[in-house]
Amino acid sequence: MLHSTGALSPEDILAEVRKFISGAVRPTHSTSTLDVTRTALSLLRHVPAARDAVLEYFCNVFFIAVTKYVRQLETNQNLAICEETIIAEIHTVLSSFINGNPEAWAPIISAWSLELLGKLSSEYAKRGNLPSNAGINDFLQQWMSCCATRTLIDITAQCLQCLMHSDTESCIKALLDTSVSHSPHFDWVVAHVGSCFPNTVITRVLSCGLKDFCAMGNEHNVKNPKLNSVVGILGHLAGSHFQDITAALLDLFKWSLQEDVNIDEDTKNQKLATVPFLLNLASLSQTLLKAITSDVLQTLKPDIIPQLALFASDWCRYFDNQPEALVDLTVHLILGCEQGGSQLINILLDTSLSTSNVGYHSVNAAQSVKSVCSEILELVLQEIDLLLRTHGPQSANIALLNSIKQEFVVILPLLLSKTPLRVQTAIRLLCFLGSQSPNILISAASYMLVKAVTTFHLAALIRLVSNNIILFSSNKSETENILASHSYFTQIVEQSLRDINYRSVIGKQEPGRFFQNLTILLKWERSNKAVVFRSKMITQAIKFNLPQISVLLTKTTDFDLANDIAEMLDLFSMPEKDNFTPNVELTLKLTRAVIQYFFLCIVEHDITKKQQGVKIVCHLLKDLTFYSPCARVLALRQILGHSINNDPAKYFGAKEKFEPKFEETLLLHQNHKQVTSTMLAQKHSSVFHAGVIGHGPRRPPPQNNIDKEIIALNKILLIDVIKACCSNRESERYPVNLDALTMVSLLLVELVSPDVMYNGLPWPDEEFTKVTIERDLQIHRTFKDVPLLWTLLELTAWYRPALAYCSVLLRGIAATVMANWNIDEGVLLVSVMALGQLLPPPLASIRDVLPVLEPHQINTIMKECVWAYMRENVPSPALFTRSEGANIAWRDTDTSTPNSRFTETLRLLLLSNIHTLGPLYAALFLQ
Amino acid sequence: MAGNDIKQNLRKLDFPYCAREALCRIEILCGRPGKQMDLQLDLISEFVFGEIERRKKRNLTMAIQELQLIEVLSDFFQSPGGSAAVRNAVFLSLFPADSPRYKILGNLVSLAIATQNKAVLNATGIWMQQLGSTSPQSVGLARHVLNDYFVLTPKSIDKLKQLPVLAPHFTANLLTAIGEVYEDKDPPTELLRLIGEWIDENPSLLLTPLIDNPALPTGGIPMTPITPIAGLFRWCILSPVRSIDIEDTDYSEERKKLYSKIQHLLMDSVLRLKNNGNNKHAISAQHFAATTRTLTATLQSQTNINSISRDLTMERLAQAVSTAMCANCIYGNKQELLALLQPLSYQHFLIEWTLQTYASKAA
Repeated sequence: MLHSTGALSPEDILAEVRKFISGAVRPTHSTSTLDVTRTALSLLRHVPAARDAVLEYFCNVFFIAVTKYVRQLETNQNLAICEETIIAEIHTVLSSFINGNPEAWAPIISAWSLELLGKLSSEYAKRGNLPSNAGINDFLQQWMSCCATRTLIDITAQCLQCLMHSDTESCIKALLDTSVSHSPHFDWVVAHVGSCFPNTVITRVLSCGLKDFCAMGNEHNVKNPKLNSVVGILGHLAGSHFQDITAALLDLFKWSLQEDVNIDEDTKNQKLATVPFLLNLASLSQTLLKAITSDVLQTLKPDIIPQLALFASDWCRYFDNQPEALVDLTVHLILGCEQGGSQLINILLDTSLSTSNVGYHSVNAAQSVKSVCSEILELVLQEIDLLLRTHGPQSANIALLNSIKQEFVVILPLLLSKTPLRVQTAIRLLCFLGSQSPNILISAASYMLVKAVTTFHLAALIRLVSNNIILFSSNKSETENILASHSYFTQIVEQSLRDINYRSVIGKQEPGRFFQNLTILLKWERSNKAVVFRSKMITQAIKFNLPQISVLLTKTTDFDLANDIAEMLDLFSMPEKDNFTPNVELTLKLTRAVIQYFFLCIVEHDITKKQQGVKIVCHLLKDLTFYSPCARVLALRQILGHSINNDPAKYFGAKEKFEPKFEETLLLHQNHKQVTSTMLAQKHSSVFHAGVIGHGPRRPPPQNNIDKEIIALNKILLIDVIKACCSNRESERYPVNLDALTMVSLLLVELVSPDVMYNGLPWPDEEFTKVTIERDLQIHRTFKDVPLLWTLLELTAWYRPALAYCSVLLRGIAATVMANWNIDEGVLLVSVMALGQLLPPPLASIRDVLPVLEPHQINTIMKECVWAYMRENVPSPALFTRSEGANIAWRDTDTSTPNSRFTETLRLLLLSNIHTLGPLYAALFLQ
Repeated sequence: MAGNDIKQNLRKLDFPYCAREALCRIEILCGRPGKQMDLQLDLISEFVFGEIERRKKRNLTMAIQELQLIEVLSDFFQSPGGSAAVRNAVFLSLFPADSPRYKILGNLVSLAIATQNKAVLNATGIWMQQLGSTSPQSVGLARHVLNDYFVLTPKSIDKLKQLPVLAPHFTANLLTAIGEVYEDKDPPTELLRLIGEWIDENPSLLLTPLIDNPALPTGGIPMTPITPIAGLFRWCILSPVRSIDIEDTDYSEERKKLYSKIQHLLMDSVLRLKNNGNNKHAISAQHFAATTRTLTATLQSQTNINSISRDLTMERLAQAVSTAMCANCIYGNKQELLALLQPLSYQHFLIEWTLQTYASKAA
């Protein structure tokens, strides 16, 4: 075949040239395009002179192919385009040229293909099925599905790839020049080529755009078409090369900040124009804004800002010399930031609050930077406010706000900042966020409530809360509003409590801080000075959350925290009779919590704190038990039960609980001990009185080494608390309710001697003690171990006739005293009985007699005087009469004078000891 | 026929027929006394190259029309009849020194080489001589041809091989221009090989400009021909001090041989002039002086040249100068040349010998 032969004779060449010319000039003639193209290709290979003509002819071929393609698009046909095969051939030949000698061919072919692409894109931009506002991606889609343009793009990319190593600059320049002359229809080419060489193209597109912007700069009013092209291209590339774009933008920004003395005027202008350029880019595309904010913001450190300040006035030139326009643009860009919102806010805050003038060229500049920053901040906030109000909080879509919502945790610390501006800004931002999602508001407020240290911050918190009452009021009626705000602060408190309960990371100080803050707020509310508190939201919130609070108080072992909670509760329950009556469950919970706190107080070393705490306990219990009998029952049972039987008992002088422990040794080891000796048939351990075999003698329980004075104090405090539980609000004079004390004594009986049999009030025959001896000993030991019981008995004795119910205890101790003649216990017993008026005078004076008596005399006197008398006179409350209105009962001494049967023995014993007991005798029997 | 009538008639024709017809008219005008140069130029501008605004429409497919035009031009010059002198005059009018038609000229020559169009090549050779073979226009044309045949379609180098036989005058002028193309850089190996073959097979090629008298119309003044000798001597002299960067030994070995060969052929050609009468203008002293200056500067600035290369380059310079002096074919300021050689004479004995031998003669 003629076309493929290597060497052509001169005549052949001439014939070919002529054939080509006739085909190319009159394409409508019978010669087929395919033939002409083949001739052309052959010419291209062999006749350099025909190169330009051949390439121009190819342009025609491509034009025809594209026309057909576009027409098919428009008519929705799908026929084969015959030129496509030709184009494939052209492609093969051209790429073989490029591969064969890239340096020579690539510039020629790339220039040709770019030019052709530009022409095609412009020519057919309005054709096809694309809508008038089609973007770069639609174009890309359309042209890449066209064989002709796709081939051209491939060729271009191949050329550029070859040239990229040697001559990057001119390549991109050619690309962009074409882009400029065919803008914006050519953008898709740049975008596509750009995705083959992202780094270079992005950088170059940027710098080209910058140059253009710089040149247009001062007098541009209309939207810069070039800028739109740059945005379109970068926007397309952002899909797959976002990182590169980010890096390029960052580099550009950094470059603009580099100080270099040896630069020409152009570069200097470009550097100045960089920031306005970037701002304009960002304003045109959300993607680019995102790219800029993601990295450039990171570099915007305090030390850079003074540098920027130098250029600010030059920037204004690009905004028609109106600084307001620049500020306005900045504000709107800030509003559009999808990420780093909190960082922006922080930069603005830091700059406007910065006190240093370091780095600025003058003090005035520093001042103006600060004021501009605060102005921008204020404008941003106002703008958000406006948007929220015009569109409604749910429908307004503000990117900045969304960004801040995501970085919500970063904003929180601002709330606790020392600077009012920061706090205010944070609060305003949170109010905006809160209008969209109230949860945020609640967690922010609870954060503040838990962490706030100063009253300033608490005031800010109140502002946060109250602001939102107003915000909510737009769509709620007045009454609902109050309810909403109530439940709103309630939720805050609830949230904080939840945090404290379940979040382990929370600091140790914070729970206490939370309750102190609540206390302060409660005080403010009580002071009735601020209008905000009229709705009693704090009280309501605390009321609602009392169950949680009481659970927390019950659970905690931290005295300080408990103290804070208790103080808060104290203040809460203190006031006016607000007819707040909690339900039974809550009352019981509270009671339990308060009692828990009481025991914490008892354990506490600091006496002042202890006393204050107990005072609060008394107050709280008084309130609780007054209107709730259940609470009283629970309180008394808890207090007595714990202080007698449980761990706290030692703080009231009880012996330490001591469980002798035996380690179980392995049988194997025991067998080893035996070695070969005979095995005795015995258990591995046998308990004897003296101890345990193998463990030595039984060790005595450790001494109670708590200071006696403390014990005494604790006892007094305990009595106070019991009295508080038994309080009687009705009369000021008799603060203790007798019925309640009866309960105390019954409880004592139950705790010390929980038997069913022989537990009644009457004293049986003395012989009967043989039956009850074991129980009597048990009672005796309990009293020995827990001396507090004496104090409690004393208490019941005071409030007659409560002691009568403890008859069984008295009886048991009396029985043991008869058996072991223990003087101390005898004295205590008798004095308690005397106090409770169970033993009338002169029997009441036995306590004075006992210490000087012989054991047998003790036995006698206990038997003859005390026991016998008590057997005859059942210690029943009926013996006591209660005068009208009085709160205490008295036994009529006249009617209750004991029979001489019971006093005679006493008299005789006094007589036998007349040398010491003379005066007593005289007092008792001679009057 | 009046100028306007000619134009009116031509305007009735379409391209490319109008071009063809215009060329015939111009040929006729050229052949007459009182050439009506203005009319000629008008016709050329309007009908041949279509540079007049009115004909802009056909600019749509410029390159193809250019090719058409080139085809017409080739055809015209090759057509039988007409005197060579008139044709040459037309050619010179078509491509005056200061017109922007070099691209078309380049393509015309390129096609002429491909199609072995002797008429065009001869005319071009005269064009080059008239404009000066070392003038920028000629060098540009040479560059175009080299680019076409060496860079873009290296397969077609064969087409150049028969060139000295086909059109010796054009080839010699082209060679002179090529010598200037690579004034300050090394020519590609293929080119060296081709030139070697050319001179080897056509020993008289280098002297062709001196022998052939250009066919010019009456009254035309032939310009002084410039032989390629000085330009090619420069390549050979300067190559050793330039090629130090090339590390590829095989490659540079071949090049060294090619340079030696060319140097030898050059000296051979020059010596052949010795017995010839009209040989005074073969080599310009200025040309040699420029080479000497370059060499001196290079030797001074580049200190890393090894002594073998140094010796070789100075030896070649001395050989060139002494051969030329011996044949007595140098014209121009010989004293200046010798003065320039003076500093180098301390570095190489051959230069010193040349100076001693010919200093008195030159004076």
